[in-house]
Amino acid sequence: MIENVIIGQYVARDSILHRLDPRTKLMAIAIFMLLVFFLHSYISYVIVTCLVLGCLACSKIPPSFFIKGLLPILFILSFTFVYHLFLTKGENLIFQFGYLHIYMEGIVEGCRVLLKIVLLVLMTSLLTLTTKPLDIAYGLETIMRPLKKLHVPVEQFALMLSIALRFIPTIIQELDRIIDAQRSRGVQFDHKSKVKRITNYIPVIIPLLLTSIQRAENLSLAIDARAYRDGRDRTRFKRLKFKSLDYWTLSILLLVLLSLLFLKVGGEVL
Amino acid sequence: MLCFEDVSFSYPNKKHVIQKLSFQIEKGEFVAIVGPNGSGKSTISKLADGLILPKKGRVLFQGLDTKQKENLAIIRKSIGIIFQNPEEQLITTNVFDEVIFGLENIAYPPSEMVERAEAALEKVGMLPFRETEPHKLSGGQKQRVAIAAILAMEPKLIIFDESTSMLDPDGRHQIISIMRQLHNEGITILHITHHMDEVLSATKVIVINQGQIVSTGTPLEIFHKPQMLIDCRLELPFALKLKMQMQQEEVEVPMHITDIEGMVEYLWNSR
Amino acid sequence: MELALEHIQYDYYSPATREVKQVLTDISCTIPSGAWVSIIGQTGSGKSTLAKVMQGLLWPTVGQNTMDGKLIKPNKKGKPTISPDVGLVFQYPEHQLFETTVLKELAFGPRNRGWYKDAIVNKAQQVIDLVGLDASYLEKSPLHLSGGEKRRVAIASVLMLEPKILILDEPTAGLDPLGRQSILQNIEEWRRQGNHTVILITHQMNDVVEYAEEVIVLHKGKLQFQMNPMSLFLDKREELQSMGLDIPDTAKLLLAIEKVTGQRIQVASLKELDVMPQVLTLLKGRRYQYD
Repeated sequence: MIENVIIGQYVARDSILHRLDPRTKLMAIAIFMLLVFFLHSYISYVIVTCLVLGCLACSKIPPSFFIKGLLPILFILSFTFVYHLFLTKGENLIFQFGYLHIYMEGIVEGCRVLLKIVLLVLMTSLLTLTTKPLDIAYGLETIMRPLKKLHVPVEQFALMLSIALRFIPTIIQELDRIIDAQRSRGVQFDHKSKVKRITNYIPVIIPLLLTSIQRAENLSLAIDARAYRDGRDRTRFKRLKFKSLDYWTLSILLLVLLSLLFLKVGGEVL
Repeated sequence: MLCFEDVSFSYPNKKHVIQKLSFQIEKGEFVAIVGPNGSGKSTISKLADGLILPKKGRVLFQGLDTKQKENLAIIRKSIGIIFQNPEEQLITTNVFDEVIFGLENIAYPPSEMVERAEAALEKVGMLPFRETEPHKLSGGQKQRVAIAAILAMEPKLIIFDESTSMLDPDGRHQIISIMRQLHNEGITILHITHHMDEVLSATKVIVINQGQIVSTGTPLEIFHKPQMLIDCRLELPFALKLKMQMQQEEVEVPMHITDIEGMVEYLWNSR
Repeated sequence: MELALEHIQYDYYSPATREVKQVLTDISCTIPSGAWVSIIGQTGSGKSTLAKVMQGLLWPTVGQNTMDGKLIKPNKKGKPTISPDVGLVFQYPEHQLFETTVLKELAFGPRNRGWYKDAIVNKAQQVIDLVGLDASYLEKSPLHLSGGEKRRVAIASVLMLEPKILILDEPTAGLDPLGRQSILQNIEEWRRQGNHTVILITHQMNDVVEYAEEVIVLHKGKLQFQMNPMSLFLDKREELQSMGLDIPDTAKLLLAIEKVTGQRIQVASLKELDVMPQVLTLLKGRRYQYD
């Protein structure tokens, strides 16, 4: 079961995207969100789609991983599409059945929204697929470091995040064990009745909570014992370093953003 | 080096876990504290490190009282603890970072961290696992990483707080031999356990039961009090049982022979 | 009840590495009714997986289990069925406790199987005694018990279901010597009382010789030996060593004596009580020779 869970599912490959600094990737995601927000003309869609496809290709990650990432949101995707399909009014009516009107504009709008979501999901899963969870955490911490001046506990937040990441597999192992133990005491997790199926998880959740609380207590002792003092007076091992690749990536992205912005502001030329 | 003076401790609404406990550990010693489950022995490591504070009495490390908050940083830097549950003391997401974590806490210069961390991992034989995530390690390997993480901080005293009790025999042997090696290199060791066969390499053994010291001495002196050990729910190593039995027949085996083969050899061949 | 495994193979597919790992390979063995069998092997040798396959918690990729000659089949949906006659005590079983009182905890298994309340209470009183606790514990909260007591409650909760075969996966890990011995004693009593079968997975070779009539040795998922403890530990020392397994103290003693005398002492078993007197007589005899 443990490997089936897709949280922070990192795929080790040797690609440009893997080599990028996590901060670059985080900023790139932010810029990309703006990009998607400014999408308007067909040509801009083409450019950004090509950009995304290019990135996917660069990552050397098998396409099946991206498809897997999209599957869970299939429902949301189809719902949004149908929503726009039926509720967008326009001029070119192409189908009518009772109250249902489908306009050409509806189809176009539906496709646009769909594409925007898919692009966003693809890009964010690209981030988690090419960046180790801990590196994301470090990236976030470094980006947020200026906030320390405002007394935001950035260090503690980062430690919390990394502990959470560290213990996901452990908790899943524990979960497996408890499920097995309770099954062997006669619980049927595939019970016919839905209510029963849910209540049957109580004997799993409670022990899991109890052991997690116990673990948290012991862990906090272990952290104190290792001379951690709430992030005070520490040095930080430097792992992140901007390379020319990072500067290039960010410059190119900004350039694309600016040109799209210009195109949009400059009127719908294309 | 570490000094307990009339220390009593209890958790809220419970009877005393530890009562008027006094003992001292000198630099370079290898002290074993043995006692059954629930004897209060595990409270000792937490008291020593100032993770909990005594209700009565004082705990001093190199003269520094754990009750003084400003002492804690230096005390925790100088004392390393390996806890019982391997799963509950690795904090970061891979082996290397685990060692770095402690170094960062003691404000070690970042440029020298890699060297220090690698040396510590090398010492416990975990360097090949540098990038491995904790959940992919065995119990014994996790404990070795925990030891490396502490070694990197160059502690003066390492407390093994039942660190072998959840390991398989293989893992136990590994930890015990690392313990010996570290002691030989001059680190003071405090080993808390209920496995009597693990205390043979100690220079001093303290037996505690129900929160109080029952007996103190060298391992051999302790082993020559079988009744006391039985009263404390402890078990004599097999070779020593044989020795005791022979003693009843007024056959003395020299103190230093503590293994089965040696004892049989002696009993058969000596006159 | 006799449990027989025939050519059991268990493959584990790991989606992350996309590899199939064979955890158990062609294991055939018979656990005689009423016996105490110990399973030994290094960590990762497949002991715990074998225990789950024996109970039906995991379904073998190849092979089948029979009980008293009857084949164990999956249910109508093709899902594995857990054999009601086999109880399984997991490692650190106290982690499965969740109820507010010990009685409710003990009632959990029987309730899942649709027992009546009276029957449950009766059984609980019997079982709590079996694991060395008294009836006053039934009203206590499991959370407030000591580690050893929690362990006993967890074992009791498995005994509630009246298994004919009890599998225990390192039930004494982390307990002090006396606690360890007393739990094993309790289980031995339970076995004798009802002609039950006990399968104990352990790393403690001394416990193996004290209780087991037969030993199964697993190494890298394969069954290496199934034999009585005496021949195993006295004759297969090198083989065991090559698998990273130690031998019990009594066997070490006998082999040490064999080494100095060139002769093997005949003993009834490798239990300490059977070995120690023999050895003492021999060694004393030697001293008197000198005197």
